[in-house]
Amino acid sequence: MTPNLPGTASSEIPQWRIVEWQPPLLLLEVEGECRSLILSGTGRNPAVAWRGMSFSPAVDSDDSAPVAVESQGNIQAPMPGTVIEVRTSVGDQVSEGEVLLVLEAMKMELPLRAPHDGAVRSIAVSTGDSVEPGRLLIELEQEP
Amino acid sequence: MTTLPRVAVANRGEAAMRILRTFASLGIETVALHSEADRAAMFVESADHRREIGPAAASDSYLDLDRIIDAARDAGANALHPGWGFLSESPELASRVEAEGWTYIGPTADQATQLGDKTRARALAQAVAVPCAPCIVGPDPADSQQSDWLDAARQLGAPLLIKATHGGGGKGMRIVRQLDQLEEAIAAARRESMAAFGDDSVFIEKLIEPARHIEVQVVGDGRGEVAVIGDRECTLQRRHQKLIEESPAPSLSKSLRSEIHDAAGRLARQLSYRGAGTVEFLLDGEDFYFLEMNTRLQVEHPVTEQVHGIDLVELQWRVAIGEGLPTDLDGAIPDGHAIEVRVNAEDPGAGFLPSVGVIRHCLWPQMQGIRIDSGVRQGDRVTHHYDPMLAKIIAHGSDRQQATRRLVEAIDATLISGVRTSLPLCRELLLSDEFEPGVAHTTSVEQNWSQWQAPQLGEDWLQVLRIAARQLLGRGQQEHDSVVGCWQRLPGRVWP
Repeated sequence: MTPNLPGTASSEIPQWRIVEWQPPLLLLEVEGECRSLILSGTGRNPAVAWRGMSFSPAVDSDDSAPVAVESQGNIQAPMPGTVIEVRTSVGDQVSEGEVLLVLEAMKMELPLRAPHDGAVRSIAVSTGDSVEPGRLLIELEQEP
Repeated sequence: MTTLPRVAVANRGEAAMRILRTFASLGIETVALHSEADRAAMFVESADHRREIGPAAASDSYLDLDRIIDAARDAGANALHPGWGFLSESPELASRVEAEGWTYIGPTADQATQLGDKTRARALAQAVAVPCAPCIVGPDPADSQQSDWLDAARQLGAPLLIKATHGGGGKGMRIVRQLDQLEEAIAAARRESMAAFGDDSVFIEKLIEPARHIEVQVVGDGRGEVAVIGDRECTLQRRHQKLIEESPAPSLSKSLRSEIHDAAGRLARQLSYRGAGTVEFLLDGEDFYFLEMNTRLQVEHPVTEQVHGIDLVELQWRVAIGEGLPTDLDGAIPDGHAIEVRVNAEDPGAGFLPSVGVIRHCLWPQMQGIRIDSGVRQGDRVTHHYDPMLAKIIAHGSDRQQATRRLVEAIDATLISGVRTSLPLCRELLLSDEFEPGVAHTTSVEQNWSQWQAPQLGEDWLQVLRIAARQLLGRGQQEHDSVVGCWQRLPGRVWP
């Protein structure tokens, strides 16, 4: 994707026009389709809402995307919370879908499950620990 | 009373804001009791006085009875409103407040004890011929007779519902569809109940499904008079927590409505109930079953307020100080229809995973028939310590169709950024067939909407918006300030 250069005439920029601007209400037409949006924030860092969903066009296509729960066998905390139960031990052979650890956040229990079969390589937390999002919790052996 | 009333509010966020607003309108002084994490919160600023009650963790602050009483005393309070959640159904809070010689804005400790114990509440309901679902009451967790109990539950047959005896709000609750998961589910329910309510006793009911959730608002004067103030339907839920609520319940026939109202009234009158309460029922076809009676104001009370033109917090206060009930309240006829959506900090596109972070933008519309009850504003941090509910949008219309249209328009005019919210899903639910009267069941959202994906603007639109935003909002870092008009940054004050 080529970086967008505001103000430059580029064939990549779709046809658009402002139908109405009554801050923060914006009626915008892009390629013949008109949508009613809410626009606020700053020119550099705008915030947009559409159908109850918010977007930050300058930063990311999507506002506040959650942290990935699992990558390459590493199970990470998807949100801040407290570890209330560790249900596995190092060396255990676990199967896909098995609950390995239970986090509590906002007074709800969130079970974290094994993404695939494998052996538990390491456990980085114990019951009672407070964890921040992205924190490594459990390492699983890679799938063969 | 010779001294002027001063009401302490033992709650936070949206609940505290809602209560403070009524007392401000009555000219009564208020005290916000808040945790360390809530020092800069909107509700703390909105009160006349404030006292810190402890660290962020609710168990050390909003659930700590001693700290609450000490702080309220220190602030010179002589009345206390518990809001909803936290200690709102705690008999100990009621008796401690009354032992101080203060006014407790809620039921008597004895009523809270009887109704807070769900197995006793069931017995009370049955005593006045209110139907209940089949049930097995569990022994004390320390008791050795676990196996008899489990056998009895297995005989009842799946699906079963495990409930915390002292629970509420979906916490400490588990559905068991396969009996081999019964023990694990009981353990989880006990753990969750212990964490949330400080008690781990549970009981098992035959799960009524498919079911719709109907509830009746009552207010009693504590001397035997009880006003039944309409009903609500709250069938659209996730994880036993309500998402969309409305009044009146759209799927009740006239005869069923009067039957359910009578049942709720009988239960409350039997106890000479004092204060506001909600009698909850599950509806399965034309059969209804008593679920529980909540001895507090309910999150969704605004839909009742909008169609009946009343202020339930004010009524709670009048009853608490012994003024009694207005005579025309019982059996009041609703005016039009009201619908509420909860704005929860969670990601409905990812299994309702809690969403935490700083609220970067918070703009609410001011529109005809729209009421916003919010506990947050721009810059507030949403933490994992508390319930994810940030706010509620309530629409009132001459009929259900108009209320729905107004609510969707209000959602479209709302901007909350920084955290994901339940709003985009609620909007689609309101416009879906699921929202037609009588279609949805309490598990419909989980069953039919788990694969739901949030609407995406698409790269074309984002590209255009980057350019349009610079043109419309300027190139600087300064927040555009013409954004006032009919929009509000301080939603706590929106009240049509």
